Amino acid sequence: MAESDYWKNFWRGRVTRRRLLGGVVLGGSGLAAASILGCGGGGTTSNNGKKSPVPGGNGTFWGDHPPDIEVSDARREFMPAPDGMTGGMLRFTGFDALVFDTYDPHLTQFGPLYSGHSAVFSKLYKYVSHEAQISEPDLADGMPEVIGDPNAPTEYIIHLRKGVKFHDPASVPANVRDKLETKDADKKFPGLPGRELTADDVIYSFDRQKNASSPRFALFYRSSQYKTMQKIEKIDDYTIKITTDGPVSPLLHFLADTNAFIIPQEVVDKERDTLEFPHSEPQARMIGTGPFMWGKLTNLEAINVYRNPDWFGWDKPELGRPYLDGYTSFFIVDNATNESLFRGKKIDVAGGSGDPSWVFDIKDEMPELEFLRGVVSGWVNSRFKVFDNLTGAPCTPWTDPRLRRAVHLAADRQQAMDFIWAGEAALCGPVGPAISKWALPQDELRKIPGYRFSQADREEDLALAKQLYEQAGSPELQFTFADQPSYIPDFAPAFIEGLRQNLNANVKKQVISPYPGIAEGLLKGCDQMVASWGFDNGWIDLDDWVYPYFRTGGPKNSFGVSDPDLDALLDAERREFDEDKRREIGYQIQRMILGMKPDGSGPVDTLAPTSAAFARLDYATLVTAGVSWPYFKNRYTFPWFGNNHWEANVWLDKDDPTYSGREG
Amino acid sequence: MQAEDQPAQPSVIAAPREWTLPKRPSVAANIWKFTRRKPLGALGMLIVITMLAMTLGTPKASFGTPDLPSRPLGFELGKPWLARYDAEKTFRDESTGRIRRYNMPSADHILGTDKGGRDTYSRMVFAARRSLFIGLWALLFATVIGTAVGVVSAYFRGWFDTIVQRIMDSFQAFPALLILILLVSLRPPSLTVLAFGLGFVGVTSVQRIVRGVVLSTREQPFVEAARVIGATDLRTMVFHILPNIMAPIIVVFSIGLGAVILAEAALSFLVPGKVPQDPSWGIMLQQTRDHLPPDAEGYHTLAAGGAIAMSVLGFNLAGDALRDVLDPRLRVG
Amino acid sequence: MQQYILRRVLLNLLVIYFVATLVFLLLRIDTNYVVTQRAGQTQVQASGSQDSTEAAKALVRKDLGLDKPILKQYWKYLKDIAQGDLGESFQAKENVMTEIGNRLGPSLELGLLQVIVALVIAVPIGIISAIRQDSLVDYVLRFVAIAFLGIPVFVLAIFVLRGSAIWLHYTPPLTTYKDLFPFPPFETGRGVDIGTNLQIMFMPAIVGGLGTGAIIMRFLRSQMLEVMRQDYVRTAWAKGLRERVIIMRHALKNALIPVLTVVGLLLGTIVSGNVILETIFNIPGIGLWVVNAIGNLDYPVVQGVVLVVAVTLVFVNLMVDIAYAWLDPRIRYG
Repeated sequence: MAESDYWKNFWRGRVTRRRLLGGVVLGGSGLAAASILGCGGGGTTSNNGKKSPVPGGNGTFWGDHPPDIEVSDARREFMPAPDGMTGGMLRFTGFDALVFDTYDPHLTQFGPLYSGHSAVFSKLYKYVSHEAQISEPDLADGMPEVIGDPNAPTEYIIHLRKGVKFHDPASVPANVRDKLETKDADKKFPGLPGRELTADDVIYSFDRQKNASSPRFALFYRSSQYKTMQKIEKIDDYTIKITTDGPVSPLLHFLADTNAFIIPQEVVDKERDTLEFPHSEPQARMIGTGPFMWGKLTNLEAINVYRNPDWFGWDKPELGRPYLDGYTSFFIVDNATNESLFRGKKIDVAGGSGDPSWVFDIKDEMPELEFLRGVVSGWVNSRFKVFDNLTGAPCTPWTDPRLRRAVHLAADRQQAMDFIWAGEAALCGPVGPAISKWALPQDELRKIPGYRFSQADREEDLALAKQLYEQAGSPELQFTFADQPSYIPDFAPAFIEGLRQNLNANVKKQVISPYPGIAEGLLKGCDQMVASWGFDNGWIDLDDWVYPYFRTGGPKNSFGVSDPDLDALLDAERREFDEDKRREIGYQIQRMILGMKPDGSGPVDTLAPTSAAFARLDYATLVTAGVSWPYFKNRYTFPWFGNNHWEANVWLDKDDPTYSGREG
Repeated sequence: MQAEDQPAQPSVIAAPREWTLPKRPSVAANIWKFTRRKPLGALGMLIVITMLAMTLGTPKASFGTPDLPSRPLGFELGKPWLARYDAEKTFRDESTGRIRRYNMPSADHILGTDKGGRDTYSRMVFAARRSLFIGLWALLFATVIGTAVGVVSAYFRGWFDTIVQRIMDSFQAFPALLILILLVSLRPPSLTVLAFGLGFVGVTSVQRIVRGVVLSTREQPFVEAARVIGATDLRTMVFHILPNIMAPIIVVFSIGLGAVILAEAALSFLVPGKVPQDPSWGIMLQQTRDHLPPDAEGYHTLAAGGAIAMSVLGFNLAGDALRDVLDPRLRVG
Repeated sequence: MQQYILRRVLLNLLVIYFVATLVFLLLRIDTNYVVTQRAGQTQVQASGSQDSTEAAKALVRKDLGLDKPILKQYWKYLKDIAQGDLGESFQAKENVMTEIGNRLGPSLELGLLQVIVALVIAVPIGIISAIRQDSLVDYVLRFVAIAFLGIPVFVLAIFVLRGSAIWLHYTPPLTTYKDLFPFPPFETGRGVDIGTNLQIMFMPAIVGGLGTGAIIMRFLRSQMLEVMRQDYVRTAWAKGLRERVIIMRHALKNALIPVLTVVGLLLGTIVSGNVILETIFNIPGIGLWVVNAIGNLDYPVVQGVVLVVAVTLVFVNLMVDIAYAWLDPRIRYG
């Protein structure tokens, strides 16, 4: 070659191929040797430089960090915004901008989506605290009046507020109106924008959810709640009367529940009973009476809502709420991205999903941040097919209560909590721990076999589990895991391995199935999908946690159980109006489901074949951790979704030192 | 006849040597020759061999805890030689009873533990099996079909070739990752679907390369000679053309393995619920992707990401070197 | 030349037809899943179960147009495509064509930027590696290139993003995307701000370009090696031309031509691989939208996107073929 070889030779002299190769081989084999030989056994395990786990063997199950669990109470610490502090768009992230199933506020089962609805639509009553189950009037003007016997009420009069108007895009300035999907409402639904809400709308919304002749009746999954309201009559334009078939104590809950929105009739196509059909533009139909107006939802990206200047303001219209110009929820679910955005003040609040360690780190770094922790009311559970729903035939192997009890004892709840949520979790009984009003106290729960974690207790439970499993004939077990959220298939191999070890069981390789498949399988005969493992929604009232699941013929009774003793208790709790008595019945129900004697004194020795015990195994629920900037005033956390109407109280403190650097 | 008269003289011509065939170089010598000429390729081969050691095992291979069952992949493979513990063994702290979640590397766990208290190093080794298994099946599928299509298409040329190539183009036009996600979404997660899907999207690349080579090979005299002595088309393709294109096929195979491993990792990242949950580098990576050393989770990322990078590196280097060695045109002068 | 172009165009139209049919068939393998999900059975409803489940599913089937016989569906599908109507998403009911129009711009831009970054990296390094074959420089460069290939893109991306936030205190404005150019297809209706746009794009472009660059670099290297053994290059050496002239003027041009083809092929990978980058950097492109749609078997979206992407790729490959023919006279007359 014409090129000078000087530099080539220079390098060649130093680094010959042999030397290069030799170095690589030495290094590689050194690594390989080290890995194979290991370094002997024993030795303690050191933790990373971060917080070491609080001893959990006998202690707390609220995770590594002591609980400063926030209980939702939207009345607490409410600071009205000073003059000049209004305005600004709140920004946060979440799953709100995902149309998982449908835009229909009465039909959607996806929490983050009906959170968006809750900013736009109103209900008769709104929850102020889920845990304490306190609700306040929203569209109603005062709590319901009981007519007749106050101990066994069946008739209620509800007055509505006057002057509540449906959203009118003409009431906002033109530049905001352009961003609303509902901007052509006056052309599409003439007469609707700005019209007053009356009893007709309320009655329509209620009747819709229990209309058996509707072609979509099967999809109204709360219909069992509305079926208890035998008659809903209009007394005058602002008064309605509800007649129930027998005393129904959760009635107030039904009126404030997550899907109890009042929607205008004009937006629904009566023939199909839906607001979604080809070319229907469902977003243009999101016209409600709430503090915010529906802006635009860009699927998988963001949802924007904007301030409703004509909002009725609950009991204090003079405050001029909502203070914000609106909020935006971005669909960003990656932890790293969320952290970066939070640091840059591009979002005002952020939480850790699945692994909140970054939240604790950032809180240590910046102590001025506000820390939010809350127990979520959604939880993970397993469901077994005990009897075939259609024929009533028993389904082997899960029809044997001993087997179900064995799995209940052997299931490693601590492993689930540590694996999925890094210990940031709480044990869940038949009623979730977030609902402190009705749930079995954690003290009692932790003494029940299956929920006991000390070494000695655990050994006892596992010995019993093995014994029961053998008595039940050591059958082959198979579980079907949901494929979402992603931590469930993630955890599946570990769970299976745990069962294998604890029971010496023959557990077939697990199947992962998407939710529709699980639902279908559970409905069909005994040979389809007999044991599932998945995530379940969060409920508020005691009734929702147990009645639809365990009552004979209940809408969620996929187990096919029919337990006359449990049925009697379930009916009793529905009729009991004294809170303490109802709670006591609730405890008895929970104990029965956990195979304990109704007074809690100990486990039932032999369970009847019709027993509904352990048909649903409840494992754990997560405890969220989040941080928010101090300029974000009046923020709340609730254990479940659907509370975005409370953003009406939020304002951004421009005088707060942390506000600098925040754009927009 | 003159032997007794002449005094014995040293012959001018040296006594004829025993002519033997030149000794074939031993295997070791061949390897050394390869290593000297292509050190990067040797490194690649070393990595490949390590991966194989991670995959294979015997039922009796026992490091750590021999009492636990091995993790067969549909057929008994035993515990991999290089694995220390079982992939699903959950380790607990003696004193607290809590699982050893994301522990730093220590004597017991050289790369630390993962979110379930399982030994990261052992899971990494077990996961090699899955990557190799999927890679091999997928590539086998892609190579067999791709070669068949490429050879046939290039051999016959003409309108047949054109139509086939258009069909292949239409397959190529599909965005591969999206089609993969679609295929795994249609069925519950299974290794077969994964392998099939990955193979399916590889067919077009393989056939394109094979076709190119066959187009030039078929012009060679020996092909013509085969036709002349009456070999049928099939015979010509299988016995004459095919053996001569093995070199590029081997190269494609080795480099393709790297691509398949990366694709599997990407799939696990995007749709973690739709791939089988046996330990796999892609799934491991997806679990701790936010962290790097010196976080404890970072060692988990390092293990998985490093394993992927190393195996892709190894296969590519080996493939490169093989191509350089086997392709006469590129021999250094 | 004209005949060549005409033939390629016609053949590619055939390809597009095949693609459309394949997509249609692929999605209709199992309709039960999507119907069940649309029917809201994500929670179990067990009361009066069997009949009401079937009724709900029948209703959904009718709404989605899946109850007609498959040939009629196929015919409607082809007709709609010809008119440019790609239907409405099953999930969010948005018009697919409009949505693609809104989302294509960022994806396309990211892809192009990646290719530019890749070429900028690959060409000089490939040349150096080729002309210094088997030297230390060559080894190091090749090793690094392949190492970058092997690092999965999402690890690198997250490291870059987090590292920048923690050590450099810089976060790109990931929540406010702005366009680069005010004309379609780059226009998404969010307003033009080149500064913001490039700030959002530069990280994913570099991270993505590194991997692609490695592939191009290796290919270019092997092409260069092959070209430099040719007789005409040897003649140039013999004539005494300087190394730079030989490389730039003679070798590089000829070596780059096949690289063009490879780039065309890689575009497909880039478009699909961008999904990961779009997720991490929150770029409102096609990626995340279509992955989610595929997971939910949202037929119209998947059909629409695959078609549009396929058409784009076919078009690009057509351009590459034509460019190839123009640059390399042997092809034209061969």
